[in-house]
Amino acid sequence: MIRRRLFPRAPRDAVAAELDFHVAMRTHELTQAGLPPADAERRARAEFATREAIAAECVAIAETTEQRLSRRDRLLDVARDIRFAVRQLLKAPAFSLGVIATLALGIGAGSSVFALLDGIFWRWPAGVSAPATLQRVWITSRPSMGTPPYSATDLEYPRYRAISALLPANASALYSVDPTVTVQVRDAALPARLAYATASLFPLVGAHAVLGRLYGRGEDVMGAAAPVVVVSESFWRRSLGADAGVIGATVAIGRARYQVIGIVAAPFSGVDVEGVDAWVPLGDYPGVSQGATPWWESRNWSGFQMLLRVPPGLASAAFDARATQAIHAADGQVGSVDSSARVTAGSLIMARGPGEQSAETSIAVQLGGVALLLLLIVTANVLGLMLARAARRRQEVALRLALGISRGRLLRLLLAESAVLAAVAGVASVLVAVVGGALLRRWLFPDTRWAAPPLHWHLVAFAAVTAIAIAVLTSLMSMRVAVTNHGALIDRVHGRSLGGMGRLRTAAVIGQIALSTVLLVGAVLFAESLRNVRRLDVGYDADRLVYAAVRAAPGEAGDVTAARVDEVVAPIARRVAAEGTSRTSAIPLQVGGFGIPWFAGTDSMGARAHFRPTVSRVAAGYFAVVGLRFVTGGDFGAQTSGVVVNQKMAETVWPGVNPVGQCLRLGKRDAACHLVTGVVRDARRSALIEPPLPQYFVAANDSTVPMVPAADMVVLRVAAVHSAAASALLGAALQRAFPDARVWKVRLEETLEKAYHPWRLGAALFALFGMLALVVASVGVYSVVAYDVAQRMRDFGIRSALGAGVGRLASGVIRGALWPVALGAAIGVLLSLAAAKSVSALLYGVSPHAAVALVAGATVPLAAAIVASLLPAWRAAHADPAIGLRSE
Amino acid sequence: MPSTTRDRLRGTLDILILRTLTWGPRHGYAIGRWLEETAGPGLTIEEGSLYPSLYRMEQRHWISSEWGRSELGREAKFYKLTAAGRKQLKAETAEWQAFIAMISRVLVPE
Repeated sequence: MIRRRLFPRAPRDAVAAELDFHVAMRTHELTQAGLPPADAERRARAEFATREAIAAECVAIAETTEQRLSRRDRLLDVARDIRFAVRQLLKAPAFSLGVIATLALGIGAGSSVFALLDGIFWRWPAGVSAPATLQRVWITSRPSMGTPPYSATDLEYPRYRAISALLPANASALYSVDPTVTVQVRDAALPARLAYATASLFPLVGAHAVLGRLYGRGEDVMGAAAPVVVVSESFWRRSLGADAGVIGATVAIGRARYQVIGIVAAPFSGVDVEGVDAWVPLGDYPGVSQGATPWWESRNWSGFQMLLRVPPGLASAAFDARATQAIHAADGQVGSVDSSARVTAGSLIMARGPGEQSAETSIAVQLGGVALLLLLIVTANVLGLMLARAARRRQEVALRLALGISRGRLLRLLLAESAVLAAVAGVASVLVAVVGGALLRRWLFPDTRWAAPPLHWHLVAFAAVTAIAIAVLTSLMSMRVAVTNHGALIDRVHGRSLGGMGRLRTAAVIGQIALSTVLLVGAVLFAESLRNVRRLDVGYDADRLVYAAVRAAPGEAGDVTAARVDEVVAPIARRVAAEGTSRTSAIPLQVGGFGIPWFAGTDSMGARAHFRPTVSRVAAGYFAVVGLRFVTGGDFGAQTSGVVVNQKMAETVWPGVNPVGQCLRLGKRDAACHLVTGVVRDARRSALIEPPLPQYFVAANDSTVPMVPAADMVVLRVAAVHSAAASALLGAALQRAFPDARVWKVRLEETLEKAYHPWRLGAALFALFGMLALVVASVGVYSVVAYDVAQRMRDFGIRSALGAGVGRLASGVIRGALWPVALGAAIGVLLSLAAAKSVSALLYGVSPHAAVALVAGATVPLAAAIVASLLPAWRAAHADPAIGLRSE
Repeated sequence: MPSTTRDRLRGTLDILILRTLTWGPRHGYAIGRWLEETAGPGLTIEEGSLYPSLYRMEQRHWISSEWGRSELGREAKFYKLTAAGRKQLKAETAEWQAFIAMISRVLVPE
């Protein structure tokens, strides 16, 4: 009967059955009255002559009833299922909270990393029309033979002009971003990111003005650009109070004045990960002309980015080839041709290459893998919790099935439960991800000002899809466990087969422990690397050095003289108790170095084409101030024709000979001799990690080597604790003294801290994710052991009654939990060894196979597992002996 | 709720069925028999009216149905009164009484 209610007949069959019954009753009645059965039936049928018509009418009514009901019922059913699920979950708050917290953390962590990667790799810049067809120009070249090819998006104007000549109007644009300008509006000074861009940028990306207008081709003339600026809508709202009156106003940017002519409609704010606040015509770019050659005719002003759309119908390989020819031709007109240079129209999204990725980006990618794994173990863990619950509810489910509930309905109930959990966890995970995504951005890319926030529909979609997938998976698996009354499956899931834990859940525990082990091994490796790079001797007393320089505005160089700068520096040096002051033309660990032709004896540079030492000018006392120690010989002192070389240079140029007193001719083969007065230790030139590079030093006032830049950077040696204060004081004093000039200040310690960033970050993130994984895994171990103990309480009770001691019972439980954990840790160690290759490039001074990391990585999860099983073990040990005697 | 006299006449069978079901769930045949026996000779319940009336009232949620085992051991559809049906019966009965009182005042003046 209950079956009938759950599986109602079709209306036609139901009506037929009901009317048949009517005839049967009448027949029965007539038979009772004495009629022979055959006659009774004939008569009953005859009385019911209108049966077909009645049936038709009833069926019609029943069908409309059914339609109305089913529509309402479906909605009611869903609401009822959800209410039921919520009630069931509220009855088990610990379980529900555990699942929600685990899921929220797992999905949240996954989504955080996803949001980060999305921002770097997948999300098109906002407000760009047809972004997939907009491309960025990459130049790949091989600076010298034997070095790997190097790809960059840097471009010079002559090359841009050559490539854009191949394209229709407004199919290409060039821009350069100055990230640190100050926009002076009335009396407010607003920090902003300014782009110098060709007028074609706006039509190319499809940007338009929401107010006023954008600048056009006629206003973007090289060297004679109109002084106009357009600002982004977000900058206008954020910093200018969305004031329409700003159109037509004059603002000062740096030393130049511009008229605001328009607001660029949101959401466009440039095409890079970092947003742009304002655009001025490229023609106004503050490049400096060299003699008669303006910057836009020169190969020396690079740093521009080129965007283009290749016309449809032109194969990209064909375009790349033509563009390559074009830049070779352009190079030939302004200088020598770099025949190794190749043009590639690559993705608009910088991180997609073809250039090399930064260490931070590779760590972000690794994190993606880690987050995916974490998501997997979270799923496994939640699955474990759900399966345990399903198994506990087998009796209830069996009862429901006996009462006639259909399997579909049962699945719906389980699905509703999973859906409620996943929905709550999904919302929580989006919150986790928004906070986590922002934190990750700050840690990984502390200097990046992102154009778009981490919250984006991509993120919400990711969290939702993940939550739904987990809900469906777990409810299907739970269903399988819940409806199975057969010993085999129960044994497989919960049986005694593996330490009493059941294969599925044991496998989940092993997986979780393995992953935490891998992550913790990674954390230890990164921490070791960080310690190693921090211990690296860069060759200077980095923590004590403060550099500053003053760069005059074009045309006002006369104001900034070495003597005037020294006048400003002297009192500051006294104030911060500087141990020494000197000057140099190059700050270590900044990009590049400067080289000039050189000749030693009869040997020419040509014989060592790839041996290119860099030269810097240094003032008296420089070596002592920066802590660059002499291996032999000494400073050139007042002797201006002296030269100091480093060990690498000495060993290469004068192998086996005392270099002191040797002759070096600089600039020309027949130049006068510079005599080597001393050899200093090798020190870093441009990067924290680099092989020893040849360097030499000439005197600041040596007029015989005119090509080397002037020693215009002041360096102070101060006590390490005073370096930050000294740097700030020095910068402020110089800016006050030269208000129109640009003042640079650098603390070497700060530069080094930035260089340590990838390792610090790797250590922090691997540790964070490792801990997260460990917490999740501990919860997993706890739930498995606690469930197992709960199932076997009677068993423990009997053993306790038979005299088993507390210690023995507890250690038995812990031992049972320990072996899958130990197996997981062992697998984790093996996986770490296998994965070592992919992280080895990110490590420094440690072998990925470092034993200490492997041991540390494996021990922590083991310890955590023991702690996690303590409580259930205690419960087992204190099992009431009476339980065993009471039941059955 | 029927509001005109014509509706009331057509709805008469409905009230009678609802009233029958106040004694407990019954199948269609039993409802018809019970009505005929209670009203005595003169009332014949047409199957052509009975069954559509049952289906219509089910659609209005005045009655609900359930398949069950009958006295013959066969499956039969049993109807039972719902809360809405009980309310409906009460209202209709009151109206009928008012209607009868009105007619009586005309036909049998005091």
